[in-house]
Amino acid sequence: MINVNVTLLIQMGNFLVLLFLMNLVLYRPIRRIVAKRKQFVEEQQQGIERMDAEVKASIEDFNQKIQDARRMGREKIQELKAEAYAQEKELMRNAVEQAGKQLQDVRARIQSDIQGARDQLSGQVRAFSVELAQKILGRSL
Amino acid sequence: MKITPDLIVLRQWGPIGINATLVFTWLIMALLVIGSRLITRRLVTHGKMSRMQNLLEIIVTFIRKQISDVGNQEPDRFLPFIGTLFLFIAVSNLLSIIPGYLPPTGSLSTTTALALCVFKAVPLYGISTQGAVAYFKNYAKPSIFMLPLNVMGELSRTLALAVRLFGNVMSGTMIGGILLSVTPLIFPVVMQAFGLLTGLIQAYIFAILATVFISAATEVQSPGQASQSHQEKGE
Repeated sequence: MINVNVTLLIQMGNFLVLLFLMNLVLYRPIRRIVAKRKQFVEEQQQGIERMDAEVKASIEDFNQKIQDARRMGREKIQELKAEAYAQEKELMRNAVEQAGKQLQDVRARIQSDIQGARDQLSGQVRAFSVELAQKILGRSL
Repeated sequence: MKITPDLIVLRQWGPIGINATLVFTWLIMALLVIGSRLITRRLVTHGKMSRMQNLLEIIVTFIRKQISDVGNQEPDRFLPFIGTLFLFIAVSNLLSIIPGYLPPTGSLSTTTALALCVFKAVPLYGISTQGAVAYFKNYAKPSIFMLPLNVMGELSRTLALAVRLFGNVMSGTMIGGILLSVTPLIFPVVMQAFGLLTGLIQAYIFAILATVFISAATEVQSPGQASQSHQEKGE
């Protein structure tokens, strides 16, 4: 015999009690834990993305620094080369100047020596001439 | 053979009788509540989680997803109601593998009580979403002449919900009993295993239909849909 009796009302009450209790002990905690985990995963994801961005930024910074260092090195080399060229030029100019001066001095000294020799020779010309003439003539003058 | 656990009366106080349906219902309630409590008191968000927590999370997430897919709405509002319906019916049917156990869903009182809960939940959710006027206006759509048919449809689907579950569970138990007397051992065992699948499917069907009814009641027409329906009516 199938019939619907007062059990129906009790079962409705039972279901409502079960609904209340299950919400309390199952759905709320599970939803809370799933939401927490979702938040945790999102935080981890954000952390990973942040770290990833930091790593990328570090790599970019490193590359930039390397490039800067290379550029600075090149500039320093150019600067030192230019400085060396300037120093070389200066040294060359000084050497040329000094050599020119020395040349002038030597020339002046030679000129002076020549003049001295000439003066000395011109003083002895008469005696040499007389001596030469005596030798040619074979008699004293 | 007892066709329904309602017939096994343990105590009787006037019109109120404590029958096997109620006893098994309380057992299932205790099993669900205590089991859930034991698992959910040590929940962890990360690290090594227990298998039972994993199982519960899978079940709850599955129910949420089903509600979301069927209803196209935020599932958390309906999760406790639909989830409890599903879990109660599913556990009630699955335990029928235990000898001597009679599923409370094999009682028309239980299935009617569950169907009436759905019957009451539909307008409650509908009114809380749309408001009383807008909700009850739906019964007079597409025209006022449809009002009696819509009300009858509401009642008949509740009746169908109750009778479908009762019929399936009761017939499963009966078939098992008959086969046990005709061809003992092997065939009844196979049918009993098949009955587990049927019981789970019935729980799913009941929960999905409840979701569909509630979703239909809580569906708010967007302005685009409303103007489209006006155009269809030539307004």
